[in-house]
Parts: sequence; C-alpha cells; structure tokens
Amino acid sequence: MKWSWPQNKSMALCLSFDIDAETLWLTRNDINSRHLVHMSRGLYATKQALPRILCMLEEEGLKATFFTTAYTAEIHPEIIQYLAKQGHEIGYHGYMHEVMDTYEQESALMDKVDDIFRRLTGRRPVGVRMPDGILHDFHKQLWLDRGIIYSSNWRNNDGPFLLDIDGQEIPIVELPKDGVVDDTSYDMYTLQHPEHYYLRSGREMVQIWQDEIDALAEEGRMLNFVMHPQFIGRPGYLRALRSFVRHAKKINAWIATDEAVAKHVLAQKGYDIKIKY
Amino acid sequence: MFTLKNGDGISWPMGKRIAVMVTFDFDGELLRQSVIGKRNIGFSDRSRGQYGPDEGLQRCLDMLQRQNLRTTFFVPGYMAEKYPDKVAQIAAAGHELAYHGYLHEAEVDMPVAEEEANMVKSEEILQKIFGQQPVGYRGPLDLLPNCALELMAKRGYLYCSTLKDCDWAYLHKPEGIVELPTEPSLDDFSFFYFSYADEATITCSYPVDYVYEIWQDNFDELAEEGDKVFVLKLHPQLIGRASRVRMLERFIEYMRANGAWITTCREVAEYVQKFYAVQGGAAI
Repeated sequence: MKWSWPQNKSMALCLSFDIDAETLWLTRNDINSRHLVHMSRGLYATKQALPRILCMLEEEGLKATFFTTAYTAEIHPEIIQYLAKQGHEIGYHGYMHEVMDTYEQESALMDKVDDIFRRLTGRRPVGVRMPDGILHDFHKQLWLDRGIIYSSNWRNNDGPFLLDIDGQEIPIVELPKDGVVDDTSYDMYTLQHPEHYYLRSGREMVQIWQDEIDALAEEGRMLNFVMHPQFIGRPGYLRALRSFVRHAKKINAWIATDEAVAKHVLAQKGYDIKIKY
Repeated sequence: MFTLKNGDGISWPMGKRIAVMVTFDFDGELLRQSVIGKRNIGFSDRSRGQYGPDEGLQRCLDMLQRQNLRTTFFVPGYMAEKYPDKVAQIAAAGHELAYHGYLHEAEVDMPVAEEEANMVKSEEILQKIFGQQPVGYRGPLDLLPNCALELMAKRGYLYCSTLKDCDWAYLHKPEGIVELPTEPSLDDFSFFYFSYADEATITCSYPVDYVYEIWQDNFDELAEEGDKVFVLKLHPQLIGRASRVRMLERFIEYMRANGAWITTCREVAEYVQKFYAVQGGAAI
C-alpha cells in the first residue's frame, strides 16, 4: 500500500527514545548495582540528558515518543511526569527492561506498568517496543487483547505495515526500527562485557541518518528512531541531533510521535479504533 | 512545581563561559596491567605503557608550558616511587598532583581498610614530592569503590573526578566532596588505546582531526549552556604521541579563544564549593 502523509509531507519521522537509564546497566551485569560509575552513567539519562533533549525538542517545536522502563519512572517520577505534561508520548518498554516467557506473566507485567504510568501521567502506553528486541509467539494476541495500537519491533521492512495473526490482518500498526538508527551503534562506549567501544562522531552519525531520510523521503516512506538519552543526550551528539532535525524539516518530513503516525495509518486503512487509555 | 534543570546555574569567574580541566592520568604500565587484569604483562605491553614516562610526558609538559597552563596530574603512588624525577618535574612546573590509587587498583568492593592503606601510602609519597597533601581523587579504570567517598571526607579531600551523571560540578551529600564529572568520549583512552593482549581493545587509532571535532562539538554545546564543566581525561602514553599533542595544543587554543577558564581541578573545586556555599547549590 502506498501511504500518504498529512499536509503533503514527504515522509513520516518518529524521533523515538528508549529510556533505559539505570536498567541498561542493571540488566547487563550483576555487579552494576554496586558499580557507582556505571550507575552514574545510567543516571545521566534522567538528570542531564532528558532536560537537554526536552529543551531542544521544545525549541524546535517537536513531540517525540519515549519508550520508558517503568522502574525509571518510579525512581525519577518528576522528569517523566514533566515529559508527559509537555505532550510527549510514553511507550511500553518493560518494568526493568525485561520480557516474560508466557502470555499470563507478560500480561501481568503490562498491568503493573500500565498502573504506574496511569498513576504518574494519567494514561497508559498504547504502543510497545520490546526490551532487547525479544518477541514470543503470544505477543501479537496479547497486544490485540490489551488494545495496543502499534508496535515498534520488526526490522524486516521500512514500514509502516499492519500486523497479522495467521494471515488475518489486525489493527496494530508496525513502525519498524533498525540498527542504522540506533544511536548506541555510534555513541555507546563500555569495556564491560558485552563490550562496545568504537565511538563515531555525532557529525558522522547524522550524516548517515541524513542520507537515509533523503532517500526515504523520495519514496514517501517512514523512519523510526531508537535513541538512548544517556548517550545521545551528551552535548556533542545532541548538537548533531539538532542539526539533523533541522535537515528533516527542510526536506518536509512529518515529525510526529509513534502514536500519531499509528493513528494516521489506521485511519487510512479504514479502522475506527476507540483507544482506551 | 517542577522546573526543568539542565545545570546548576553556576557562573564562572571573569565572565568565562565554561570551566575546563585538561587532566592527565600518569599511570604508565599500570594502565595496561589493570585493563588486561594481570599484574604481569608482556614486554611489548609494558614498554608501550612506559611510553608515558619515557616520551609522552615531556611533550605534554612542554606544550603546557608553551600554553602557560597549570593542570592536574592523577598519579598512582607506585608511579611516583618508580619515576620520582618525572613526578618531581610535573610538580616543579606548578601542576597539581592528585590521588589515582597506589597500583591503579580498581575494585567495586574494595575493603575500606585496603583502600585507606592505599591512600595513606600514596599520599605520603606524593606529599614528599608535591609538598602538600593531595585533595583530589580519581578512581582508576573508571571505577569508584563504594568506600571511597567516605574515605575522601575522612581524609580531607576536596574533590572527586570519576562519576558520569551530569555535565555540571556538584557537591556529594553528605560528604560535601565536589564532583568534577568525566565522560568516555572526552577520554583519549577511548580513541587511542590499543593492545593485542586484550580482545576488547584490539581496535585501530582515530585520525586526530576526527577526535578534535568530537571534543569541539562537546565543548561548543557546553560553553553555550554556560554553567558546565569540561574535563578532558588524558594519558601521557596515549595523547603524548607527536601528532596528538599538536592536536591537543590546537584544541586548547580554540577553547581559550572561546571563553574557557582552563585551570587545575583544585582551583575549580574550590570555586565551586565557595559558590555553592553562597548560593546554597540552587539554580539561580
């Protein structure tokens, strides 16, 4: 299907962030709960990076999606509430960046996460990005049963497309992602296993992204980001990201939240979904 | 009412835009021993570590003198024992000597008695050369033992330069120690360290201009924000190569021309402590 975007925009662009913060470190090595430096790197996400990112988005007049581990929202509620109040979207990303093995366990975990965000922000997440990109066979049915309207997990396609169960289309929009738009492949440095130590400059990172959206805009497609505040919120990378969003505006991209893009796609497909928050 | 806080609203002396510390970890062959996790390393790795005391240090000191800069060197006690003349030369040039372990030890759960013994031993050695008790602490290998802050407070330290939770200088509570945060992309180790003895660091070097750009972008953004610190964490054995020192000198000139207050960690920490004593640490 050939998609069209609002106001004749050239493509859809979702500036999405995964707020893993401390959970990124807590889940990669047991020693990290006592490793002050690694915990401080996680804390950078909410203490320094989010304020900087939110200032930039406000200056540029943009709304973004933040797939937020609920544990992070519990230990740093003010910044997460602020972000929601500014009109940014919070998406599902687990409690402690975890994925459960059964439908029932995962549903219980999503109940817990929904409660936390309803209490803090007045609404629950209606889109999911699975921690570590792990998915089980039961997930699509679970999301359908829970009234989820989009997923950002597949990597097989530039999207958007509608998910199906046994060949039967369901009203859940897939907004795919890829390593090319995952900032950690350029800006994450750690010698702790699994090591990641090849830093690229912010300028080089956004040159790669600009080349990609220039080509996608010609095709009228979409691009969804996977950015981690504790790394891309560093001053040099943020500077590069700002120049990237200005370029995206110049090529007439529709910069919107995942939820807004999902709703637009569902409407084009003729679905009239009542979303339960 | 929650307001977004992107810094602590500190203003720098003489209308400067940012406090910059061009710091050096003078850890020689101990760096490779710690990274590889062995006390005994092969000849090549030991010799490469000794590039710091034997070659790189002099280039760094000459450059700092040309630029009329005083800065901070974090020196493990063992290095000061093994290379007393080199460390005396650093101190004689007016630079600050600060604590960096005795043998560059890096353990999360370091027993408090063991770390205190390391501090006592190293302080004594550094004091003999430096003429004063070190007041700065940088945990070796980007690691801060859990007992460290308490020991710093007990032993009269002024600042720590190890954690990475923000880009502004802040006071640890309740110890009152000033934190001067560091960051891997402002560490020459991330770009220039290489050893076949350790799989994680078999990587190739970066062009100096590429690293210059990364540092420049960080500096420019932070200087615009105005209430931030910029701590370069360098190693004479890595940054001390001829082409890299030239790049660093060019970058220092760039920062100077763009409103940087470049000085020792101690001087910045004293300023920060005084500023917050008056302001109460709140955003202005």
